[in-house]
Amino acid sequence: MRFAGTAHRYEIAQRATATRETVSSPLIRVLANQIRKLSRQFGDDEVDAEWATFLRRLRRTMRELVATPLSPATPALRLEETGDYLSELLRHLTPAYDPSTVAQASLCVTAIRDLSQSWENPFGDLVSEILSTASPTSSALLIKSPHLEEISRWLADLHPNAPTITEFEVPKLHGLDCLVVAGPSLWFPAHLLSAPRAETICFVHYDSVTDRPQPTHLLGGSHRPPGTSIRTAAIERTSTDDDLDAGFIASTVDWDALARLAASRPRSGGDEEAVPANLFLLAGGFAVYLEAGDGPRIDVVSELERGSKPRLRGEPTRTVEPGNYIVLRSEGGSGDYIPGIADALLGKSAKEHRELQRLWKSALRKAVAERSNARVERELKALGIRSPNLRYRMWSGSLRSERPEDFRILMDYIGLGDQKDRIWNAMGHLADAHLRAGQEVRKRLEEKLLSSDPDAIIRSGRLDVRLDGTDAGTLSVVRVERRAPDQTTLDEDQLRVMFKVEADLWQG
Amino acid sequence: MAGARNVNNLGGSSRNTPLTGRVPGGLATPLPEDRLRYLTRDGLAETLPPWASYLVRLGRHVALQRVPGRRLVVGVTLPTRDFAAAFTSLGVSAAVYEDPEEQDPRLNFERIASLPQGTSIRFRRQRFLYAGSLRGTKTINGVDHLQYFDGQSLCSLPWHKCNSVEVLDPSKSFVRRRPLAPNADFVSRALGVDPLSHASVTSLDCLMIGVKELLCSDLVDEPFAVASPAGSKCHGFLNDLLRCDAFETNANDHDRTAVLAGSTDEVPERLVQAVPPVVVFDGPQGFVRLRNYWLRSSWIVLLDRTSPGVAAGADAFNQERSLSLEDADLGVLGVPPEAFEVHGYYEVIQ
Repeated sequence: MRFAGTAHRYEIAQRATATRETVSSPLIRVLANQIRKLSRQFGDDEVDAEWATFLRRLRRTMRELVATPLSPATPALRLEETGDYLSELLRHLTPAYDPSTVAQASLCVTAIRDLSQSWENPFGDLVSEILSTASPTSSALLIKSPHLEEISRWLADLHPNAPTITEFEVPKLHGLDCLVVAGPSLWFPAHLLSAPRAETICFVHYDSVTDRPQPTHLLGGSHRPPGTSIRTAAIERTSTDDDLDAGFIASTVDWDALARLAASRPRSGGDEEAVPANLFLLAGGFAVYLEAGDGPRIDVVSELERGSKPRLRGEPTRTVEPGNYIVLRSEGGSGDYIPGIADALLGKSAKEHRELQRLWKSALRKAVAERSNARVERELKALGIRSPNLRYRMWSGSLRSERPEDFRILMDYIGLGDQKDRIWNAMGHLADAHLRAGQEVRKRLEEKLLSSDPDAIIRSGRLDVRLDGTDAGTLSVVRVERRAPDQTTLDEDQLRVMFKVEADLWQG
Repeated sequence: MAGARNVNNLGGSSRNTPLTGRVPGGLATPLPEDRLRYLTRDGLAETLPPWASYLVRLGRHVALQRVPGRRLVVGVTLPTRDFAAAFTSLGVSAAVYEDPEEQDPRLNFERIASLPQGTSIRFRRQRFLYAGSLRGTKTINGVDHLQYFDGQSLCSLPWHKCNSVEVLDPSKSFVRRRPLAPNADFVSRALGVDPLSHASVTSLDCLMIGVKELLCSDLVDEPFAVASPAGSKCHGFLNDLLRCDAFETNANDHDRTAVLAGSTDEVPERLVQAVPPVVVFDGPQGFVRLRNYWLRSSWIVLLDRTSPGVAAGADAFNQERSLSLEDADLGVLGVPPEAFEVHGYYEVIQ
């Protein structure tokens, strides 16, 4: 009875209340204070790459501490290693920079080293205390920490029935009694408050970090913000100049650094067409470029939730957005996996068909290079093609137009009129094989998804699937987490290739 | 949808009928939102919650608001998309419904008679849907008849029984005879209409744009109930009331609601040309991508606040609103549920 569940969500949305509880830790306060002082020394000045690396790591460390209700000395936080890493960076920076700045940076490192020895866990204690007053079977802890497994283990010992969840699981919740959120509200999606999934939501964080409310209304001029807002305790510590703003240590992405990394990857060196593309960050610290133009599609998983049947549907790559689960090849080749499987289905004839495909692509690109995109488009229209969509036609993956007459006009135009029927038929065979390959992969992926735990996929953001007996290699169903604000142009062989990105490189 | 008769037929004074009482097409009170019941986990049938009733009222209001030269656009943000488009479209569909039995059969007879011989047609006769191939007209005992071949023999249909005769879309399969409305009782009680008439004509009452799989779960998988005055209940699905083309039970069913994927690259020509009374955008993707179409229709934009692209959808709505003629007063619908954000505006029809 899905409707009853939906009705319950609305009841929760009407009743929900949100509060904030803060916790003190002298060592965290010292680190927050030192980071704030160091950042003030730089002011709005642009920092060079070495300092940028230092500051990025510092902010990331602080963020992890503020998001993780575990003792700072917990090995997962790797504070000792961070102290060593920052000391080493500082050693290189020392001779070239203002001594007072370096001294301030040293104090940050000292504060991290002090924390690395601390087994106290006031943050976790408060989280546990709140959960112990809530319904044991209808509570959860929401975290935004990379240390999901460690926090889950810690919580399972104390509150075996309260799961640790991520923000991606929240929309699927049907309604809890209590949701404890580890960290300031600014770091979480606004829908936590505007579309609440728990009757009581409690944000818990260190008092040395200042939270800020996010607007919950989306439509301009709304007189009444939807959902609930955070009520603070009657007596709450007033924030001071020593506090760190939650926004200062919020996760940010250096898209330029990511683009530089992508540009440095090895290339196939083939005759590749440059195409518009969007860069996406994926769960687990990966990134990928997808086509931004009309035409190319990618498999997207829908209905990924417990009790429903996950399905795959082909969506235009340009419409992919954060929150989607897309299918990419993660091992055994790169780029789109469908052509390889289609070729295997076609057997020996595939080679000839692919040669014809390359032949007409090459002829079209030559015509465009000689006469310009606009002129070719105009001339094709004059010859009777309603929508030439040249970019899509030049894309190496496109096969043929919907209307045979359009294709024949195009072949005549690019000088392949004597082979037009042969090419049309070959592209037809390829199109059929692509269709069969897509259906086969989808069917088998759906079977794998059905036998997998959807909650586990939502938690980790990824499922790797090996499809035996196909040339697809390992396919990954992976969550898209962010999308770069600007489009770029790059060669086709760089598309749909997942690449690992180190957090220190891009994560502020 | 080819041969659809009611695509643009929104003329007539009945469009400004108040929200309660008798509404166009013969729908009588109580209204669908008062008649429908949802089933609890314990199997009890409960009246619809206020948010669902509001969405049905909203759909009806937008469908019936006819200001010459203007169209109404309403944006709603909600805590979940589940069932929102389904109930909104139900309000639209129920409001614009016109009983084909009340149409002039002579006009339809003449329209069909003018088509070339061999044209495939379909029509209702009692509780069944028939298909045939047009063979012209013949006067029998002084009465004009439409002649058709049903696959076995030549048959005749008198002109006064031609209200429901329609051209059969060539893409639909030709089934000589089959039952018309499997959930007739549910449709009759929920909408207060003749369920066989309701199922016997193709129309475009509403266009829904969203993720088809999600809409399918809302419309086809979830049973609802309707109580009769005697207290007995019958069950059915929202799709029995909306008759979506994407979720037909049978290949050549008559449809009343079109469903389009928000991710589509190409809008079918029949929809590009159509002017549905209301377009319901279920989610930001379709709204952001397809809002250059259907500029003569009213719109309802439903945005789930937990949806990943909701900010882009809201930005697009706010931008359109800033260029609009004036805000719409939706006070007639009553206070929106607390979980909703609702805004409307009027735009000049270009």
